[in-house]
Amino acid sequence: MKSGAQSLDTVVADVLIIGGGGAGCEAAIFAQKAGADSICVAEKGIIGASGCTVMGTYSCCAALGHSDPRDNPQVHFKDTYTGGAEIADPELVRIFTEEAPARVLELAEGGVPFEREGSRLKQGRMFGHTYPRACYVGMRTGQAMQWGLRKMLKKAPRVRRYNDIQIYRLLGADGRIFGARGLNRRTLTTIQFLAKATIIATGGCGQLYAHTTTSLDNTGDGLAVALEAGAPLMDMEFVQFYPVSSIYPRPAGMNRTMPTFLAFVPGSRMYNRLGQDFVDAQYPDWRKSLARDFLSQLIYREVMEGRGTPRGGVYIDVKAAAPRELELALAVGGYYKKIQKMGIDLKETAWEVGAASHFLMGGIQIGTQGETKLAGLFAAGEAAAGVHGANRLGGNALSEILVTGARAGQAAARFASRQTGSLPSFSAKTEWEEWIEKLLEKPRTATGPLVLKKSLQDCMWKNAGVIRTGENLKKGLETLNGLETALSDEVALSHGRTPYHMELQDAIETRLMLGVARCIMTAAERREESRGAQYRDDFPKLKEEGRANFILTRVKNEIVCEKRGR
Amino acid sequence: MKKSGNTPQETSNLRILRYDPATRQEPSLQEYHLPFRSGYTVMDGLLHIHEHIDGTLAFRASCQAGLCLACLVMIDGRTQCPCRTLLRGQMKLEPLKNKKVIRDLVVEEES
Repeated sequence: MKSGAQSLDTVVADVLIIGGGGAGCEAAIFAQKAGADSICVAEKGIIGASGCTVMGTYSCCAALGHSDPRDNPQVHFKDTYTGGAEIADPELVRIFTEEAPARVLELAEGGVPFEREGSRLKQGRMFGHTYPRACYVGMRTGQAMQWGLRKMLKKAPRVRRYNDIQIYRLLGADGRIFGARGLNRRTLTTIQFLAKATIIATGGCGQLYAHTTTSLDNTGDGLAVALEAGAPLMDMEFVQFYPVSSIYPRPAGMNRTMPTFLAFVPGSRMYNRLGQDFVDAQYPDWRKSLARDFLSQLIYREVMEGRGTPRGGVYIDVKAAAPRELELALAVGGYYKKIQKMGIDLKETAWEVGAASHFLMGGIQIGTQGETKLAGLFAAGEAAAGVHGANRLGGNALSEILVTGARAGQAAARFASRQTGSLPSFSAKTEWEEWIEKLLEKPRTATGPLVLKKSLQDCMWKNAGVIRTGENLKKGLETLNGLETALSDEVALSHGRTPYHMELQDAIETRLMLGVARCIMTAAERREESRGAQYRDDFPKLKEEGRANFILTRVKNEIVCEKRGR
Repeated sequence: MKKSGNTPQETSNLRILRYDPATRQEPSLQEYHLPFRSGYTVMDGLLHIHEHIDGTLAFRASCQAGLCLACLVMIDGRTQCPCRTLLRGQMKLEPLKNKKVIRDLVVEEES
């Protein structure tokens, strides 16, 4: 269309960062340090608040050697690479483990109140880490880091911050990316960011699953737009599940992972709807030795085989625990007081819990500078693949977002400074804008987008969840086809143009989620083995030839999945 | 509105201040009946309204764990996170004061 049929709100910048969580904030700070003149952060919710960084409870791991002088980046490398079942990108792991100490210390100097012992940071022990290397701020480490980063960002004079922007498409020409286009949620108008370099820092996609510990924003938008633009995704089959996430009652003002602490109180029981202590029956010693993934599988199987609670979980019961033991176990995070304040008597109530999607190891394939296969496009944080391989060690997420965020910010600034030509103009309406307009102009009573979003989450939970089979994955892929058709043909909004249109938000997110869901299922089906966080019931063993990565690319309307040996 | 078959202890009424600055209409309270109460938070109530009762209601929701503070509103006159507040029988929800309202419970946040 000529001269942009509609007036298009356009913002021009050197560097555009999509996502205002921990990785996005760190990227913006480092892009400015590296000399970028103008940096924009576009966030779907609120910069420095939305996303999953604030939800990080305890640990931010870096081999500082403050608590144990034997620790160093080489040991952290070994732990991380082994924890990732030997398919992580060794170069990315090396960079992560070598640079994490400096990034964490910068934050400590910048005002994040990591707990200290004199001039040294206290470091706690985490499962899978040889030495204690978890820096922490009580049970609110992620929130403290995020608030520190937000403060630094506010002081950064060359960073402009845009809240309530739902990005749905990257702007590309001749294999290069020049920014992104999205919906301004406040006004329901189209906004585009023209940028010499673009960084995707939108996090993972926990919301693809019916049960998740992640924030409601976590719908994998950045992964979807990168895939759509032609950037390859990698390791998408590796979704980490957290075994003990609260289903009911709601832990008001507490992390969903809180009931984990109930499970480990002496005298606690975990049982299914039939009252069977299913974990004890198989592994009497599980509280001491059972790994997260395995416990997730046991719980998931109970529910899938029909022995779960009506809300889809199992029970944790601490009625027999000594009150003093309970108080002690729940002292962390002030949980004991919070549960009391909720009016819940643990002597009377069994807590319904279940496995829940927690973290995506896969994501956009990147090189050492966060660069993707598309010139001008970078990725950082949970949206990027390669550091964690097939599984992530606890405590490696909060430090990894700093390292990959900083690297991508610097590289994007340098890339932008080398671009001398003028930016192309993008004024034509795309199929996206036409779809959104069509939805807004013809509200009616029909299938709402949330119905499809819930169906997608249900489909992923059942067919690409903790325990997978080739048969279920095939079935799941077929269900996705049906949902895609329904989204384009049947879905309607109940009302027309209003600011902050939550149904329209559901529709856009669902459309983006479908692409990401397809990648997870496709890669999970191709990987005919169990490794790291992927468990295939039909291929329960690890295979030597599985030491490889699956790379997913969109070619026309198909997802092509290629295997690349490590 | 249809009455649910549950006992009074198991229901909750939320009165929510609705306002769209794009129209000339004054803000007004709308009442929503929830078929649950104990063990659930106000955020669960809002998400239930969004899913089952009224897709036009606007509110912010993110971490659901009391950590991001994105959902902050006035609950019975006090600034609170719906995800940190358990449902009571009757509650009144309004947008934060001294902030520009985008619509209903959503205000402009400059981070």
